[in-house]
Amino acid sequence: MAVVYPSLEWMEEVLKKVNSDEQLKKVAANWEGDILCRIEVDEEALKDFRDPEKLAGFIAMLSTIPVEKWSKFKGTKEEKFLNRLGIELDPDKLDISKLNAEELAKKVAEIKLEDIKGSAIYVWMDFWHGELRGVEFAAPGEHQNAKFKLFGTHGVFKQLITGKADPITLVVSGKMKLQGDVGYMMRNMPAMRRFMELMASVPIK
Amino acid sequence: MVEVIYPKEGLANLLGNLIMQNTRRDIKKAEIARKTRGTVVIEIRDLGFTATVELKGDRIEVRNGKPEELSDCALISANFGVISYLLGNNSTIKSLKFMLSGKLKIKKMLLAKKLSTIMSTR
Repeated sequence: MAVVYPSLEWMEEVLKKVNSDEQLKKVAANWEGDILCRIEVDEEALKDFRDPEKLAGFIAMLSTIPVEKWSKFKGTKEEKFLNRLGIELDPDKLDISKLNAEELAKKVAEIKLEDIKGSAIYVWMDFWHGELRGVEFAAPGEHQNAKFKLFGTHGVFKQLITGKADPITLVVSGKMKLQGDVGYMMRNMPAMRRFMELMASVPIK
Repeated sequence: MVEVIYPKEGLANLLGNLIMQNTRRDIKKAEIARKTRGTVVIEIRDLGFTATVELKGDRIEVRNGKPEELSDCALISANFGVISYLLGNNSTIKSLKFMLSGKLKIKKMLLAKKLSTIMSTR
């Protein structure tokens, strides 16, 4: 069944696909390292978030960040983006479960990219010996010591997760940036390739 | 220490990062780099990207693209899968097998071999 990206359902589907794959268990048996994806908000993200279903997926992901970590958004571009949506991450004022995606989606249409340029969505993947131990929506500044960091726009990440492009082509073409131990990544290319194939096999709405 | 200069993106970023990490971790690779001078063009055939590695002793410069004049340059040309395999398994025999099957093209073998040793992930 096709799921919305980004959403909790998408993260759960990725977990299921990855953790049930025998081929990945073999090729990634020695892999030790987490991956932090910094997904920059671009015009395509704004276009997607005008769709209430997709925005609801994003809000559901946001709701997984514990209240005690909301302070990490303070003063960031991500806070500015949320403020533009009318979301103020203040535990005394906000109940995320009561946010109305239909109403918020209308506000997305009023946001100009230059006003929120540089804001991003962070997805952290804890990948260990052929198992994806967790996928989590992270607050700004979290998991900065991740073994690998992948940087790209929402549009570029969509190409990746829908299988329209592979990570190497995106990195080599400069559309995506990779930070971390390049040698380790090259040695474990079959593991990375299989992981990306599985991620791309989750049908997206 | 060998200084490695490379751009913020593209194939040259990937290779530059790899060379910098390898020469910092491995004294032998840094030593080979210091003693080597010359220009190597790396061509990833299936992706259609090239990068140029200029070895200048204590300094290595990596750029996206290739120089207009190639006659003085060494060349390593293959699909990405072959290149990444060779970086992980720096084997002369395997390189020869790839060359005989046409999957790998190398010009100025000695210089190309030195760079592939520096870039090897083993």
